[in-house]
Amino acid sequence: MKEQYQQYFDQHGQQDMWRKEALVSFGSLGIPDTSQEDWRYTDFRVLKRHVFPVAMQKKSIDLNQFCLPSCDATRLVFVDGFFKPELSDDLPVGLQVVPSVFQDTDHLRDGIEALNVALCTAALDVVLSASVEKAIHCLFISASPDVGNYTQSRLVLAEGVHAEVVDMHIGMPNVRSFVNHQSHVKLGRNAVLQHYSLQYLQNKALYRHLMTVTQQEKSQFFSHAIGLGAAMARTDIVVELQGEEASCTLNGLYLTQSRQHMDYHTTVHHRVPNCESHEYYKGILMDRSRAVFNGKVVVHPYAQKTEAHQQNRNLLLSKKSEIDTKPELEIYADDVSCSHGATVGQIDDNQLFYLRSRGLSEEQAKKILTFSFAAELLNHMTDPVLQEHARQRLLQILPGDELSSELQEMS
Amino acid sequence: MKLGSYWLLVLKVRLDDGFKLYQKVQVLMLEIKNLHVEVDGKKILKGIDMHVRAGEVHAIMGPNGSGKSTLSHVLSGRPGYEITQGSVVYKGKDLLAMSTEEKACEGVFLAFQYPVEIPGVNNAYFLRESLNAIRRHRQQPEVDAMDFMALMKEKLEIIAIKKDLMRRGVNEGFSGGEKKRNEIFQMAMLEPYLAILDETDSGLDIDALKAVAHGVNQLRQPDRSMIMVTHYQRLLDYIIPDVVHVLADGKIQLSGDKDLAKELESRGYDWVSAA
Ligand SMILES: Nc1ncnc2c1ncn2[C@@H]1O[C@H](COP(=O)(O)OP(=O)(O)OP(=O)(O)O)[C@@H](O)[C@H]1O
Ligand SMILES: [Mg+2]
Repeated sequence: MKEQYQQYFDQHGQQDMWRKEALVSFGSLGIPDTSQEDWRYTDFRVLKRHVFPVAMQKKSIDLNQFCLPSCDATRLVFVDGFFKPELSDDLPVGLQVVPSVFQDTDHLRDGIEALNVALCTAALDVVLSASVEKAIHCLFISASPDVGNYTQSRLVLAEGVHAEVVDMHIGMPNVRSFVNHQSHVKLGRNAVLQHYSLQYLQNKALYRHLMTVTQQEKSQFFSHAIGLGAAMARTDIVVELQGEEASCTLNGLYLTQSRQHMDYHTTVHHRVPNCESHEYYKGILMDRSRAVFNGKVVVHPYAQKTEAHQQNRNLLLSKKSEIDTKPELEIYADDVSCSHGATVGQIDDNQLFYLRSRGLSEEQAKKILTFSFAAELLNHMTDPVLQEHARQRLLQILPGDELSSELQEMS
Repeated sequence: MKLGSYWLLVLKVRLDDGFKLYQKVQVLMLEIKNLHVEVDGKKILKGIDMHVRAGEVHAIMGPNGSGKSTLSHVLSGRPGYEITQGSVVYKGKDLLAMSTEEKACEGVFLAFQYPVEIPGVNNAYFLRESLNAIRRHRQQPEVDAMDFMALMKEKLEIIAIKKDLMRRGVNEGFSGGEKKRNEIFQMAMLEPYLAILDETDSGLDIDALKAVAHGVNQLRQPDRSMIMVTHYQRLLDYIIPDVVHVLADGKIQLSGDKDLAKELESRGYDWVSAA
């Protein structure tokens, strides 16, 4: 495998030292397999059989074919892993797109991460010393079949800076591709980041997103992860709370259908006292799909007065769907308030009967109940345009007739 | 000549009476015959017979666990009941052959003994979806948001229910009384032909009881029948029933007029079973 990628690597003419190191690491780490605890339920063996090289020809794309949210934001477009200035807004101060951002190759977690570091074609580098008015929308389009999209973003927010950053992944239908994306966030004192990770890929895509976050004193990190697409998707979020009174909120909503597989692994390290973490993930599983939620919270020694709360709720709409949910709490301090809970349920029969007894068909009633299950998390999205966009996408996937448009105002 | 017109008049009056009587006999809203129902192999209803004509209000009383809610549920199509014998004809159609939603669309409405909470589904939204589902079934045009709001306003006044409850999730966090009122409000909105009210009076304070009774009375019409399950004669002071039934041990043991309820109130149910 490494040899095949080596060949593309050489053609690509990559000189950076850390890329070479990463490629070597890829050789030794390999594609994770299910014998590794963290990858037990998610089998990316397809990455062992297929090589996903960097796109060789630059594809031109008409953005009008996609149903995009109409936000007043700075839009940056990436196609097949390459930045498209002609489709993008001008880069404001503090933003640049570079071939890659330097990575510490000593601590690569797995071969997929290593591959990203070795092959990255475009990296958004955001260093903000003052708040920017507009949100930054990164649109990653996977357009060509059988290529890898190796992209990164680095977000550094200085003291007191507020920002909203959106990563939206979409693709062309029936394109089998591999989207390998990384985000690295550094939040200074009092910085606030609203981060959206919207995975709306097409049915054949493979997706891996690795996100690391470090937070200084009193910083706030809000993550909104919506997963509706891809054949196989894996998200890792690792948050380091390094300054006191920092807080992070991780919200997630996933909906899987047919034979989709979606995996969320989150880790929150409470390294200092007086920090808070809140995590709420909800999942809807249909058909023969499968999802994994693994929420790890580590309260390190001395991290007293930690507040850490985690919940994962799942709605199984099919007997053939499967969810593996696992909270993992490691607590090495004694004065902490931690809670976790995981639920797996079906549509409530009483609720279903109630709606049907008022004339709604079974399918409509199920759609309304499923939607209301998801709505709770959609309502946590602070950006109303993205919220509405996500809502529409979700409603399109759920079987049943269209629901009247008042649903949004009234819900 | 004078004599003749007198006889003509008499004849006309007799014919009118006869026609009304004929109508009364003819317009059967609901006919339950020898209905037997089991739950998990346990016999609950053991041969119910009941006739409800258009415009009538029937009260069903009976001890706890006698099968009153079971009957209500079967009539509205709740899954989980096995009908082992008997038939139910509603407006000339086989009610038992209809799905829950079909029954609702055909005009059967159940006010639940325990209304269900559906957090996250807005009350007003849900009612509009319901109303339009029913209207589509009846090949009537759907009501738009504006008309719906106007209709809602009108009905809210009849039932005397707080408007802001409509902005909340269906029964979400409603008090017991508010839930019961909401059921009657839904009935007012959906305008059924056959309404089954399962203990709508339970848990209501005196004022709420009066308000609900007033609402129900407003909804009484010649083409709408009601079956009210209740434990209290008090409700029947406000909503005068045409017929009172006593359901005990899975059967209608006794039927009578409104005075039967008074007798039950003073003598209890043992007397019925003994009779
Ligand atoms: N799902 C069920 N499984 C087992 N038994 C049931 C079930 N549903 C009802 N029953 C039984 O059927 C009987 C009749 O119940 P039902 O709720 O119809 O009574 P009711 O007359 O409405 O009583 P109440 O006045 O207390 O409301 C009871 O003995 C009840 O326990
Ligand atoms: Mg009952």
